[in-house]
Amino acid sequence: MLRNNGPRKDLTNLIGHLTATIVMNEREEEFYRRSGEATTRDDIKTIMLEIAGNLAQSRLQLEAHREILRQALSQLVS
Amino acid sequence: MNSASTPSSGRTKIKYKIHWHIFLIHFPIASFLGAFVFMGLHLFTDNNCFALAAYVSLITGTIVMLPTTATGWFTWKNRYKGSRGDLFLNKIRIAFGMIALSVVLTIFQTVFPFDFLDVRHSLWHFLYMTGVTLLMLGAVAEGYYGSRLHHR
Repeated sequence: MLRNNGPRKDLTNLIGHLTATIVMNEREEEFYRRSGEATTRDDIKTIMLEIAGNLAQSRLQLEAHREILRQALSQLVS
Repeated sequence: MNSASTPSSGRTKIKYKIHWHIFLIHFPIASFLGAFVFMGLHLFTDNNCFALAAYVSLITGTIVMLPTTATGWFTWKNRYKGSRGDLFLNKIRIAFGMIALSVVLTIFQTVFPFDFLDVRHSLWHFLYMTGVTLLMLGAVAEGYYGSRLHHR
C-alpha cells in the first residue's frame, strides 16, 4: 500500500515503480534479443526472438499506462 | 550433401551483459560492514590489529563508493530517465551522504591515527564510532532500497 503523502506524491512514486518495471522488462527483452541474434540453432533462435517480441509488446503497454499516469500527474500539478 | 542448417543444428548462445552498478554495490556494503565489525571487535578485545583492519575497510569502502555512485547515477539518468520517486531520491541522498561521511572519517583517522578507540573519554572517537555505524546503516539502507527496486 502506498503511504498517504498526498495524491501527487503517490502518483510520483507509482510512476517510479512502473518505470522500474519497464526497465526490468526492457533489460530482459534486450537479453533475449541479443542471445537470439547470436544463436545459430534456428528453432531456439526463433523462440528467443519471439520471447523478445512478446516482452517488447508488454513494455509498450506498460509505457502507455505510464503515459496515462504522467498525464494524470501533470493535471494534478497544474 | 545438403549443406543447409537443420533446425536442430547450431549453437544456443547466451549473451550476458554486466550490470556495473549491481556488481559494484556489493563492495561498499561489504567494506562498511567489515569496518563496523572490525571496529566492534577492537572495542571488545582492545586489539589494535582490528582497528587497523577497520581503517583498511573504511578506505576501501570510501574508494569503491565513487564508481558505485557514478554507475548508479548513470543508470538512474539513462535507464530510469531520472525518475523522481522516493525510492530513487532516498538512494541518491544516502549515497552522497555516505561519500561525504566516509571521506571525513578516512581523513580523520589518517591525520589523527589511534591505536585505541577511546569512545568513553574522547568525543572525537565517539563521533568516529557513530560515523562508522552510520556508514554501515547507510549501506544496509542502500541494499534495502535496491532490493525494493527489483522485488516488490
